[in-house]
Amino acid sequence: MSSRDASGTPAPVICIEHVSKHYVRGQEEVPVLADINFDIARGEFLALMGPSGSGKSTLLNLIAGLDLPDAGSIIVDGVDITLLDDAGLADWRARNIGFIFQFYNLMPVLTALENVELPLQLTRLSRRERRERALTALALVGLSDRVKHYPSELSGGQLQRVAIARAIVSDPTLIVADEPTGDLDRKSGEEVLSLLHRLNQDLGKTIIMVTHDAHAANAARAVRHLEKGELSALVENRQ
Amino acid sequence: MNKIPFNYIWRNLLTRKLTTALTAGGMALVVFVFTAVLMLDAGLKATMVATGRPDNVMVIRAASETEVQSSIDNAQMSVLETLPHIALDDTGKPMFSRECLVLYSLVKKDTGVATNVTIRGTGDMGLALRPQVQLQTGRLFKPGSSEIIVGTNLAKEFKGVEIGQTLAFARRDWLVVGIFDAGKTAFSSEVWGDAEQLKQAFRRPVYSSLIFQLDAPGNFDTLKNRVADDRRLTVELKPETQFYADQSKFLAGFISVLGLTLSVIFSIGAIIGAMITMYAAVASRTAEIGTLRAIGFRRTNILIAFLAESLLLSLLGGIAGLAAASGMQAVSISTMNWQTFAELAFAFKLSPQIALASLLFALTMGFLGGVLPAWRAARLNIVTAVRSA
Repeated sequence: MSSRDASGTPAPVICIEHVSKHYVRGQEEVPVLADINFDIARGEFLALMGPSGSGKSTLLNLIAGLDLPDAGSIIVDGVDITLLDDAGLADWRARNIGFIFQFYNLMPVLTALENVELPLQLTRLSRRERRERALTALALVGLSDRVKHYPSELSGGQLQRVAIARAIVSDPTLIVADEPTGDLDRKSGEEVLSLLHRLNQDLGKTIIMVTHDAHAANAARAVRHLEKGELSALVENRQ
Repeated sequence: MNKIPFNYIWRNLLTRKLTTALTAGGMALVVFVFTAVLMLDAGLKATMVATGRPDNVMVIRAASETEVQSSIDNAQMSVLETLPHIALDDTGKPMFSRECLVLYSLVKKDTGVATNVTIRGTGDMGLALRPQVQLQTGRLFKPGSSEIIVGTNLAKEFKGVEIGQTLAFARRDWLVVGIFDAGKTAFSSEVWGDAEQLKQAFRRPVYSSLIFQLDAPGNFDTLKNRVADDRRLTVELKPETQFYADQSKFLAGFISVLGLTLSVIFSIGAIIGAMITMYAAVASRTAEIGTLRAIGFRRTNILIAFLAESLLLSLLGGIAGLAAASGMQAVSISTMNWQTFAELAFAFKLSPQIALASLLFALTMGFLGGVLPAWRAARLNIVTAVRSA
């Protein structure tokens, strides 16, 4: 469904214009992002790299609507999310963003199935439809045999795959992943990366992944580096 | 309708079993005290109200709140007996009973302590006016004799009141010839004998009270106004039910005020306990709250979820407390009614209203204990909360 402009390049799904952000630490103002401008095309799989404190997670949080910039606008699918209020932003996240965190962030008291179903509680779907969709998502990540397991009964790699199922279950516009392999061993990390790759390639999901691991970044289609609050040019990975 | 699944709320309570049990246990204790007080109050009122019948009228001297304080001389008694609207029995006899009341001390079986009991002088009509009074064993006292019958509560709790035994008072020996059951009424804690005999023995020139049945309940006000206008009479008329309810006012008020004050003070402790538990829950689940917010749940969803958790916790406590208190229904209490100075036995009485009030009391504690932690959970910064995983 990627719409294309006259030149044939896919239309951007995200436009980031003049975004800046600073934090206050004690008396001191610490600039994190300074006048960031870039677009992300629909169907893109972008890796954001940079050293610790470079502002890559901050940028991801801004794009995902978890935080608001000091200045600038972030337009996702035609909506400037910096203009939304807290409740509006929550509703927007529910419809448009799928999250994958470094430490999975699953609810320990809910089963894999219930965790995946969680974002669907915010939709108008019936109980049966919710269940069916959650099962489909779990099947997609290869965990059909673990639906009734609690997080404490799953390995790190399985936990992250449950988290990925949760991120895709509501068919969001954008999947954001913050160091998705950061807490995993190499093998599990590979599985997660290949899963993300498949989601992008086969299902056309737009993914932004923050990582400091060059190997993980290679799984993406393109890479941008962030250093001292400034963004490098897009580098396409050879697939 | 909150969107955070109930399973999430419920299982979080189950996960921290010990904390949940201790916090709910604290609340259960408070609810137990609260419920027990209400049950005691209800039991006392039920006993006193059941003692009277709505179509009976009690006449006592004006401004004397109890029969023991009251006296009605023969002249006034004669005027009263000729009042209109007094019901007639099958044989055409007016249904009134002159009664005299005295207090006498008897020794309790379990404590060995002497306690005041009411001795009521009455007659055939006195029994006819109170159909709730039934002879259980033995026979009724004969008119004009020194025979007495005793109520079941008295027979159970006091020494020397079995059939065939005698009580020595007013320089006579009084033979116990029967035991009567008056259900859960104050009469069950009384001794009854012939009014004329008791009056003479105690050298009383006057009666204590007059009780009569109205020909129609609607005539009470007419009669009351007529008595008020009659200058020969210095008496007060009350429906019997109201008379007995008034008699327990002080004791019921004392139990309620003391019990409810204690409950409220205890409840502060339980509320603080719930608050600590819920603050700890919020602190240990900061990352989960951040994640829920990131996924798209609103602040209000989080607020409601944590408030619901606290309410559920208090409901568990409430149900436990109520269950324990309902066991108190088997317990009967015998104590002095300070208004009549006589022994009165009554039981804890549970009603749907009391059960509802107790659960609402528990939920109020849960709400007060949970609202600040829930507010805090709802106000957490998403970015920092998510990172605390």
